[in-house]
Amino acid sequence: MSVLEGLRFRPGNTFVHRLDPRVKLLTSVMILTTAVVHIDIILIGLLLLVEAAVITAARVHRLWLRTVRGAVPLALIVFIISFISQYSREPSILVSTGFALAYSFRLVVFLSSFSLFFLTTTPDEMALTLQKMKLPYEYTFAFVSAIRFTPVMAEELRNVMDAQRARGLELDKGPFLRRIRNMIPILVPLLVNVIRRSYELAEAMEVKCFGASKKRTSLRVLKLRRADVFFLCCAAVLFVAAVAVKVLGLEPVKLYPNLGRYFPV
Amino acid sequence: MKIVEVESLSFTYAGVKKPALSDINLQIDEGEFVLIAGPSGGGKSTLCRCLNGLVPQFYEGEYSGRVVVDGLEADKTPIHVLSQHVGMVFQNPHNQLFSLSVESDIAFPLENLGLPREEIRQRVEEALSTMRIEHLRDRSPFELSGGQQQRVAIASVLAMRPRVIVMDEPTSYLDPLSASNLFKTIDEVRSKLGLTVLLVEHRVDLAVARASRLVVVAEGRIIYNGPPRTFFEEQNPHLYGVAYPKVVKLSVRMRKALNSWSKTCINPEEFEEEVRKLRGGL
Repeated sequence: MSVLEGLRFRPGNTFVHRLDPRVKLLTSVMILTTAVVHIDIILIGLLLLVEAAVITAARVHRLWLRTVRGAVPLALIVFIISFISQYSREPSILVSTGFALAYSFRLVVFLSSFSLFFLTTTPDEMALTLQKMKLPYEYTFAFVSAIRFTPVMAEELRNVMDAQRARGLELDKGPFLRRIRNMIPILVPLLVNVIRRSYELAEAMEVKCFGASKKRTSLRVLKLRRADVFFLCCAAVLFVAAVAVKVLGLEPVKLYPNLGRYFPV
Repeated sequence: MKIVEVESLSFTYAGVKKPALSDINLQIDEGEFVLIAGPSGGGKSTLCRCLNGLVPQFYEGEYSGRVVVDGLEADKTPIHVLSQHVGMVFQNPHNQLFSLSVESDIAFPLENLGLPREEIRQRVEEALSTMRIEHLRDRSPFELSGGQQQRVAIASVLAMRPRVIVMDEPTSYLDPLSASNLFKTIDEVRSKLGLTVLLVEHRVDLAVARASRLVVVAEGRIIYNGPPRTFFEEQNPHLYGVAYPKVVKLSVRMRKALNSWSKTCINPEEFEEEVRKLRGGL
């Protein structure tokens, strides 16, 4: 089940969980845009604080921290590259560190911007969001099925591996190429099983009237409530403020020359 | 009233020489609980798939004969229309649950049919309470046991309000206790809703006591069609790949050994009764 650890299947019961998924998606897009537009270290820090506050309110900060930690290796690469490039331009360790810090910091915010959406939205709600975005139902169905059958396939993979190991297949030994070749006896039965399963699924879909009506109803509907509008307004105000700061050139880095010396403008 | 009528039905899958079914004739009354038994590969599953139009509409092949279910001709009625008259429950519970929560799974066929939302809500509630799984409403399919998954699958079929339910080995992934509980629920639901149930099953010992009729299918033909008791009195079940429940076997032996033993018992209760009768009110 570890594959799907990050996805919640039962709706949580905090204020953030109950928000309309479309609102959360939009907010995530705004966070992302802000992180793309700005490089100002203070603003990026504020942005991260706001995001962290909302995520802590949803009580998913542990999962979120894991996502952030996952972004660390990539951020490290960015840190090293921007450090080197800045150092070659202006050989000052302090300034280069400031630059590298700002760029890698921004990357972390950038990568975790969709956490708000993904950590507090059930896959069912995501499917509803896709449907609301006028995506044909077949695509939504494919999305839900992919999530639905991932654990089933993972179990199947484990079974096949166990079965082939019991027949003497060595999966963890030998040179790299041999190990690759040893995957063939795993992949072939897995593929056969997948094809067989797809037949059974098609049969069951047929019996469950899949595609019977052009106008499919859905049991659950997304409705904007007052809380959703309020949350969206707050997010929009912050977003507009962030954009205005950029347009008017009021970034702290520009206003305070001391800051501007060490951090990118 | 006959709810299922099969007349001289034969079917051969495309690309196969040997017919899967040959000259099947079967009539089933409304409200019956029919147990279908027989060896694997004998044609039981094919027969089930003929009743809801999967054969010949989904599986191609050579089809002849006539199948009428609830007044509809199975080979000519679209499957989604037929499904609202004949529900089908498959063997593998994993492959018939599509959604990420029990509730949306039960709603799935109704949503596909484009029913009004209020009606879907009402039917989902009804199906949940009929199968006694209200408490599982928000669970995801991976959080359910095999028995619970099969209950959800049955509920989602019941939500379409069919008059006939066909089940193709619904308990083969379940442990004996879950299987026995499932049969009990199926029988309760059948009598409560006045459904007709066709159950393909290898666990004859658990199912036979509830069945009003036994149909044995082997090599594409109906070998036996009648009351379960008579089959065990007249035939050797092992010859046709049917399990021989121990209590039946024992009572057949008792009957041979004792003249005063009056009948072949198909469940332990009957056996107990028989022993009590012989011992004069033990």
